[in-house]
Amino acid sequence: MPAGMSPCEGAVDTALMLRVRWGDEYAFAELYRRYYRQVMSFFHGMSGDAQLSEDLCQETFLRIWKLRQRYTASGSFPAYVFAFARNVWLEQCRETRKRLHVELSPDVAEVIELAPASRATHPDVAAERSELAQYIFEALGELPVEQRMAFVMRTIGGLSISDIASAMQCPPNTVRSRKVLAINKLRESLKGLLVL
Amino acid sequence: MDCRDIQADFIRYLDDDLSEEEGLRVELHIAECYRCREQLDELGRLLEACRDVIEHPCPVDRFDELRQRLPSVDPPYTPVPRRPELRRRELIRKLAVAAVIVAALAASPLLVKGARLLFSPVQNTATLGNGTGVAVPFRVPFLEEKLRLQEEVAEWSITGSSERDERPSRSARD
Repeated sequence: MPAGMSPCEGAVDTALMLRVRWGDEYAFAELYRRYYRQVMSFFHGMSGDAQLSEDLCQETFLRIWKLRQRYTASGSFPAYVFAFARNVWLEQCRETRKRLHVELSPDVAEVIELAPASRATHPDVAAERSELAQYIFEALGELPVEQRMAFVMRTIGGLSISDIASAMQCPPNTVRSRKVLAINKLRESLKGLLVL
Repeated sequence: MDCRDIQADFIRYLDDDLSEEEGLRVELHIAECYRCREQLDELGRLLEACRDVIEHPCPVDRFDELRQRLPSVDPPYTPVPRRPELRRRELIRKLAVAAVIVAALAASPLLVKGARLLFSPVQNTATLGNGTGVAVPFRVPFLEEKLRLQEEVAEWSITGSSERDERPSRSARD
């Protein structure tokens, strides 16, 4: 092993997670470092909010640690991580929906909860973002949750169609069709914005 | 193949989700069709822009912060669920033990009977009338019992021959 390299760095994800099951924090740290960028990018693609995506990433890994004894080393590890991320996102949507129904009128709450990415319309957030990014997030916000999820998971990289299918608990062809529908809708929404 | 059919494959082509043959068909078409090539480029730029936007602008490693929260969610120890193969082996072992017990119980009358024959005196004796006037047991299952009876027979044979010895032999008479 090269000098300066920790024992966890060369290990495969499954082996590390099996060590995490026994409470190995070093193995957990290595898994975190391998996947936190992708998980944050997933939540960023779903929410459009950088801070929220970091918090949700922390919540995802916290749950992986809490439920580590349920890990059975069957299937792809990225699919395992993103199954947790998906559940965290769906719970976030439910909580947002409940909160908005209490604070606002049902009509307004319904519009906002269907498009979490429209947080980008907040003036401070929008100012930091380019116009194109703004349009893209608005277009993403108009997609149904499952289509947006399939598109985002495929776009962030590192996840195969079968990994996404496993994380979303649907057949691979369903993932393909959701992704294609999402891209066609994005093309329609963003037509003319991308110029040579 | 017209342009519409080829354009329907563009998304999968950019996703590297086509077979080699299908991918080659797309490439051959766009080499000749300027319009389809433009469509493909535009789609590629769209996906590239989406990728840049979706990616987190500055992902920060917050593991140290996460580590401090780990004990708060540490669950009490729960036994790891046994794998189905281990449960199956355990079930087979238990069934085997149960089968041995049942077989032993079923065979126990025979064992008891056998033990009685081994350790109790000879029973069911019948007189066969073999000429020696000796009552011979008609069932001698075990070796010790057999040897004892052989000794008895031998003794009685000697007794019988001694009576014959008292009568003069034929040669002597002749």
